[in-house]
Amino acid sequence: MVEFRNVSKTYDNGTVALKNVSLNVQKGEFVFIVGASGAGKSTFLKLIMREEVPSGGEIIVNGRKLSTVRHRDVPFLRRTMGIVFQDFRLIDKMTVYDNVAFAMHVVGASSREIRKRVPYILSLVGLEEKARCLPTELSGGEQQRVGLARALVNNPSLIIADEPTGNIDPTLSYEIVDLLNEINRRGTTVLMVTHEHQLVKRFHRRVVEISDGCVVADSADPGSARNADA
Amino acid sequence: MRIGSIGYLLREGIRNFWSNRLMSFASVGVLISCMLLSGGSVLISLNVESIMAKVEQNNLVMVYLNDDVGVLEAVKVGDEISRIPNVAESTLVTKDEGLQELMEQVEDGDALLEQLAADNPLPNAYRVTLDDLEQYDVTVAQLQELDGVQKVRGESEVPKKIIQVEHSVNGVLIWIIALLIVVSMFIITNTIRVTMFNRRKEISIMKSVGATDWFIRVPFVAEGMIIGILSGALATLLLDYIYNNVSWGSEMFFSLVSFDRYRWLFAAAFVGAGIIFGAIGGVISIGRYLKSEGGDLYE
Repeated sequence: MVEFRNVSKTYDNGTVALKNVSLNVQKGEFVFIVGASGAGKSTFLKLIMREEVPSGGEIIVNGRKLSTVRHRDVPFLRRTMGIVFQDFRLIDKMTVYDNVAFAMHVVGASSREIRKRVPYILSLVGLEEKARCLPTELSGGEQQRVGLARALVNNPSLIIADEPTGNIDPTLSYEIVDLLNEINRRGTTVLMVTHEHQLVKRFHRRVVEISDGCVVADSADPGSARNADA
Repeated sequence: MRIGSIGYLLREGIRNFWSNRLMSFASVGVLISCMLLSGGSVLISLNVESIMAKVEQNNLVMVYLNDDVGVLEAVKVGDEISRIPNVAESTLVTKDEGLQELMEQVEDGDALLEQLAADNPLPNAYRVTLDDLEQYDVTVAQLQELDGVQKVRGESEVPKKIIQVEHSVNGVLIWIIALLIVVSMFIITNTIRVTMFNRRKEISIMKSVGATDWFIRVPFVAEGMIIGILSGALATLLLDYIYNNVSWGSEMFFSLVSFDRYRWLFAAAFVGAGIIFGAIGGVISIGRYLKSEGGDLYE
């Protein structure tokens, strides 16, 4: 699903974000990416979304080498992935329903498809009652569920969640991860960046730790690097 | 892009226009001013041209033949006059006709006419009109050189002055319009930039969920076009009203060109220019936003 082959990334200002990272995430996996801030987690996600291009190595997403994806094909690559942001990135002037429908408009869905699909997705994240609310009228956990609904609505094969619980009351964090688990159970690959160790410990999933731009631990492949728990 | 999306994107364009309405209406105002100034200049130029055409029609050159040229020979000279390229029309005015006309201009001419009829002092002549006043001097010289021509009389100063005026009016006109085009583009581009800044969060979300560049661009292009169309339509109505209702001074020595003839031309030019400028403005303003990526855009 997502494969990194000796990927390095050095920004124009000289910052080295990733050093020779190799990683393979299979279809249907749920992977936690952990590490201190500045370790290279964000760069890792940006490279998958092709917001950044690597300085070296090759990234393969959904069987496509990202180095061969032309600028005008990038939107179509992104339609295969749903992105969940730490700060939710909801549009405050739009209702919950419209925020989710917006993502479908963008990919050119018809009004009929939108009317059918959005209520279904909202019920999936348990927000069918809040469809007419504005994001500001919701709790942080609920806002993030809207973000999740928006990421899911176009039926992506990969969900990328960048610290999705970072701005949420810790007690509500579990329900977001529960939802991601449920999504994963239905066959969607999930990559979740987090630094909340409690969360990682509670859900027994593959954990990849990035530190100083290198993969220093991978629970799926303990031999590849020093195990974080060791 | 799907047909269904176009409706959605146009609605988004209208939403852009409205959510940024202070700037939108300000730019509509500036655009209308620009269009009124351009339209006013064009109307001035049209009027100068129409005066010019009238003067050209009335601007007669009298070609007096030698006293010894009789009517028969005069007809031959007439053929030669017609052969000069710039001559539009030439009419023979015989001695008698000339005298008749002269007497009609004089009070109590009849008595004088009787006295003079016996020994008419006027020569046969041709009344000549020209196609192009700019060639005036050349044509007069050609007429002068014909055999049997005694004297060519016309007023050369009037056409020269008018040509000068027409040239300078057209010259100024082009510069005014060019300047106003630049101003209009600048205004539209900036207005759309403001909308875009207000909607940068939406743009970043659109990019992250896989919007194509065109999908992001169209609402802003539509916003620019709405500004343009609105300005064009209002400017046409205003120009019509101002042109027809402002007192130009009742004692004009010429009649103004009627706006009716040009109304649709102005409407088409203004709205057309508005659409084009709006569209170009939209494309220019969003360029930078399309290059930068979601996160950078937003933060």
